[in-house]
Amino acid sequence: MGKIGGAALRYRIMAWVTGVVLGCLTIWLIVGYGFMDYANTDVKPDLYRLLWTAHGWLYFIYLIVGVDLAFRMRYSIWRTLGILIAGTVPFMSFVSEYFVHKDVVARVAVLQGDPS
Amino acid sequence: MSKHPTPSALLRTALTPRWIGFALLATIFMIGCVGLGRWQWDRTQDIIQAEQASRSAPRAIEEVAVPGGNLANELIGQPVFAKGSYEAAGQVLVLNRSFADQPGVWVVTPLRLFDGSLIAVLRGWLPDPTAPGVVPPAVAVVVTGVVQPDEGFYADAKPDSGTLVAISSVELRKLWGPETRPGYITLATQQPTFTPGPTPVPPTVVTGNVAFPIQNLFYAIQWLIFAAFASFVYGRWLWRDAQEMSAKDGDFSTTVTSS
Repeated sequence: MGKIGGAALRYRIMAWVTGVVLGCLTIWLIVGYGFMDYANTDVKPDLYRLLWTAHGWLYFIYLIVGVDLAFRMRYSIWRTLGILIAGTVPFMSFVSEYFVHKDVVARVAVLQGDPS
Repeated sequence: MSKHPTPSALLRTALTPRWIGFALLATIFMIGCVGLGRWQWDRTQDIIQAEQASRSAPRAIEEVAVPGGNLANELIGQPVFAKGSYEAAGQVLVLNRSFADQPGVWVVTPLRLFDGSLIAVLRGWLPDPTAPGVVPPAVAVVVTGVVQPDEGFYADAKPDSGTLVAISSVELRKLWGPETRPGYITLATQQPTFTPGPTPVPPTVVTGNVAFPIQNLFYAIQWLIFAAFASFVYGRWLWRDAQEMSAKDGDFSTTVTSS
């Protein structure tokens, strides 16, 4: 099942990319609003705004590859929703990716062990 | 698996309680997405219009801020002028405001307009509440400045009378009465001039010269894409369930063509 392998790899890459960007932005947001007065003054760097915009589009790619993988893995709607929402919660995409990866490895092993 | 489900299988699948539930869920999600998309679109419009307002000619404060109403988002930063007389009795000091790294207070004085209503004027900064210039001039003045929204922080603070921790129309209305207009004017010029007076401060909320709100615009687009995506996911999963129902029925023969 090379198709699952490719979909899993795409999901893995996007889970890490969106996860790292969102994680960095979350820390930046806490530091910025907590200690650098982002709320009251106009000192937000352009890079900060740019990264939020980029995260919006990266998350959209994450949605596409996530749905693609969930469909190939025949996940239920609920499990699929869980995977998709994980991409919006800081650091949760790594957790989701861990379980999905374990599941994919197990599935591929079963498929390869069973020649039928 | 590339076989098409029969229309009847598709319909029967869609009408199972499970899939009706999913349809409801998808609909609620899509309504939410469209609502959030509209909100971001409105934000985009507000920012663009406020940017234009900030560059437009000064308008009379009477046109911009109506007593009892709210200040429209797109008018924040609008240059305005107002004619009237200061009422020294209503003056409040906003505590803990620094200027050029020096601690001090902001002086907010009600200006009684000729129609009887009041508008708050942030006359400027003073190093302490007893500095010369704290008492407003007693003659009729024409002030120009920029409209600013309420400061939304420390709403529950209970400072001593005659002082505030933030400029709030709600608090000012309690002090000055229902004829108080929303928002306040950051004083830029005053005719006739009086010295000494408080040092004028720059507006807190700057709406001119801001970047195009590309972040809000993209979010508006993305919410709509999410809504479309939800309908795609619903359709694709339903399609597969219907395919399986067709397969169970064994009625592929009606639709499958040899390929």
